[in-house]
Order: sequence, then C-alpha cells, then structure tokens
Amino acid sequence: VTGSRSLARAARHLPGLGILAAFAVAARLAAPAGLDPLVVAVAAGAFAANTVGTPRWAEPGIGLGGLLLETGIVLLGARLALEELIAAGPVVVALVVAAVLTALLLVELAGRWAVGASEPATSLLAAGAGICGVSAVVAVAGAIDADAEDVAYAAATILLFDAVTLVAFPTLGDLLALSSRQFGVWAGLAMFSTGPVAAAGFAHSTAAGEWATVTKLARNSLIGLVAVGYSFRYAHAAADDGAGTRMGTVAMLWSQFPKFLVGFVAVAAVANAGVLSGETLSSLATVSDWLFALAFVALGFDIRLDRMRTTGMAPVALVAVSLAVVGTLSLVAVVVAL
Amino acid sequence: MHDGATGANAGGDEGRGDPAAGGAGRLADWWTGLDRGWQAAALGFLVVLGHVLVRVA
Repeated sequence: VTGSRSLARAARHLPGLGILAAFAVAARLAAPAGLDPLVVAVAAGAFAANTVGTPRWAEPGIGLGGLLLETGIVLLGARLALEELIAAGPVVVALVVAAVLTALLLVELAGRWAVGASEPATSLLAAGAGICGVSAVVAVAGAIDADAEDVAYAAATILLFDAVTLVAFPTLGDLLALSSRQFGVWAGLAMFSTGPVAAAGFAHSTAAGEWATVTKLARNSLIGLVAVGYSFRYAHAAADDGAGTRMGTVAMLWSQFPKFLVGFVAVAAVANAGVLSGETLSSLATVSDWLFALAFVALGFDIRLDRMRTTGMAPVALVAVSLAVVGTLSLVAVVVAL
Repeated sequence: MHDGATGANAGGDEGRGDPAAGGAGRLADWWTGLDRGWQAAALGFLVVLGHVLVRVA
C-alpha cells in the first residue's frame, strides 16, 4: 500500500513534466529558424501561463523547475575548466563582493532616505537585488520576521525585473559586443535570480552561460552571511522586547547555504581530476542542456503578469536604481578587468 | 524559480511518519523531506555515476 502511495506521489509530477518536455522539444525545434531555444523555452512557458494559465494537474511537475535548474547547474560543474576559473577567480570574487555590497547599501540607503519605505520592506528588496532574487527575499524574511505582505511585494518586484533583464541583458550584450566571459560575469553580477541569469548567459553563448552561472553561484553563496547580518541587525533593534536570534550563527549560515553548490563543486572536482572521458563529458553536457531547457520552460511559467501588477512604484523605483547603478558599475568593471 | 537556497522541497508531505511504511515509503518520505539543494546535488552526482558505470560496463 505504501509503495503504491509513493508511486502515486511520484506520478503526480508526470503531467507537468510532460508539459515541460513538450515545450522544451518545441523550443529546440525552433532553433533552426534562428531563434534561441532557451529564450523560446522561457517565452513559451510565460505565454502559456499568462494566457491559458497553469492547469492544477500540471502544477506539481512544473513546480520541479527549481530542482531541474539546480541539477543542471550541478552537472554544469563537469564542463568547468578549473584552471581558467582559478585564474579569473580572485577578480570575479572581488567583483561579486563589491556588487553585493553596493546593491545592499544602495537599496537600504535609498529606501530610507529617498522613498521612505518601511525598514523590513527595504531590507527584503536589498537582499533580493543584492544576492539571489526571490530566495534571498524569503531567506532574509525568515531572519527578520517580515510581514507576509512585504515579502509578496518584494518577490513580485524581483520577478518583474527578472523578466525585464532576461530580455534586456542579452540584447545589450550583443549591442556592446561583449566577449562571452565579460557578458557572463556581468549578467552574474547585475541580474537577480539564478534561472534568468543562466538563461541570459546561455542566450549569448555557451561560455557566457557557464561564466554567468558560476558568477551567480558565488553571489548565492553569500546569502547565509547576509541573512545572518540582517538577523543580528534586527535582533539588536528588537532587543528592548527581549527578542534575539533564534538560531546560532553557524547553524544559520549553513541553513541558508545553497546545498546544490556541494554537488556542483564535487562534480567539478571529479571532472577536473581527469577520470571522465571526453564522451562522458559530452553526454553530461547534453543532459545538463536538457535539464536547463526544462527548467527554463518552468521559469517562463513563473513569469505572471498579474502578480507583477501587485507591486508598487516605490519598490520598482528602488530596485531600478540599484540595477542601473550596479549594472553600469559592473559593466565598466568587467570591461576593464576581464 | 530557483533559488533554492532555502527550505525543504514543497509538496509530498502526505503519508509521512506512517509506522507501517515500507522501505520504498520511507525512502520516498526521506527524499521529499530533503532540502531541494541536497536533492539536486544527489541527482547530479547520480547522473555522473550512472554515466561512469555505463562506460565501464
């Protein structure tokens, strides 16, 4: 009985996965027409979600988009040239730290002084713009006990900018004639959520997709530090009523750490140890590409115009300022340093 | 959408803790309760392992 219940539980995901697969195949078939399959995948998902909507029976499978994306990233580790990464590593890490700090400070200061937004709402937007989109909003919301309404506003704002940057960045990258490495690192530094960053990178070129993902992963790995920082900041502010951090610092750092990075590093280490043949690496790259294609269709299903309309002008203005400043500074930095 | 830095995988909570659960049920419960990041790490590594085993065989 339990076995059949487990099977039934797994089977609930199949219809949605079937939709993702059908759209991903269709996107691949569109490639010869000169369209980028990944952009078509995202657009097809977004079109379906905003016209016919997501059928209830397809939601569990489409909800696996995040898992598919992260598994694709883990496999991306197999095609990383560690030597090249180590050579560029210190510069990229320095750029990541600078970009995150700039975005956090900018949104925090502008939110308080220029827009007059509430402190928690501003902090959620700062985390979303500075680190990794909606999950950073959720992580920091947990650390500072934010209102559900503030979380919804911040998440909707980040999703809005994910959709805009997904189209704007590859276009700008082409116009500015950036190299794959420059464009990938720029997208990884300035855009918000991981899915759109990877999609924009791969829309430019495979190498740009790899650089974009790696740069974004470096940014994501800072999420724990930022959540802990906010936790201390707000616990200190609430000290009068005896509130404190509910979790130890190390435990919180670990709880917020993106665990799929462990798999990504492990696969990169195995691949760079030379134990995988060229055929195996090529086959793993194909699996990774398909996982990305499925994930990008699911990403499209997440782009819901009705949800974006719920965001206000103040959060949009704040994040737009952060994107413009961090985008411009990081563009100058990658052109100069890479 | 990503970013999966946090939280266990949503969905699939039903049936958890069933004392009559068999091996498959317990495995399914364990898997659905696992952080999504660990699930991705495990799946990715299993795909690599599978490829290696197929090549060796």
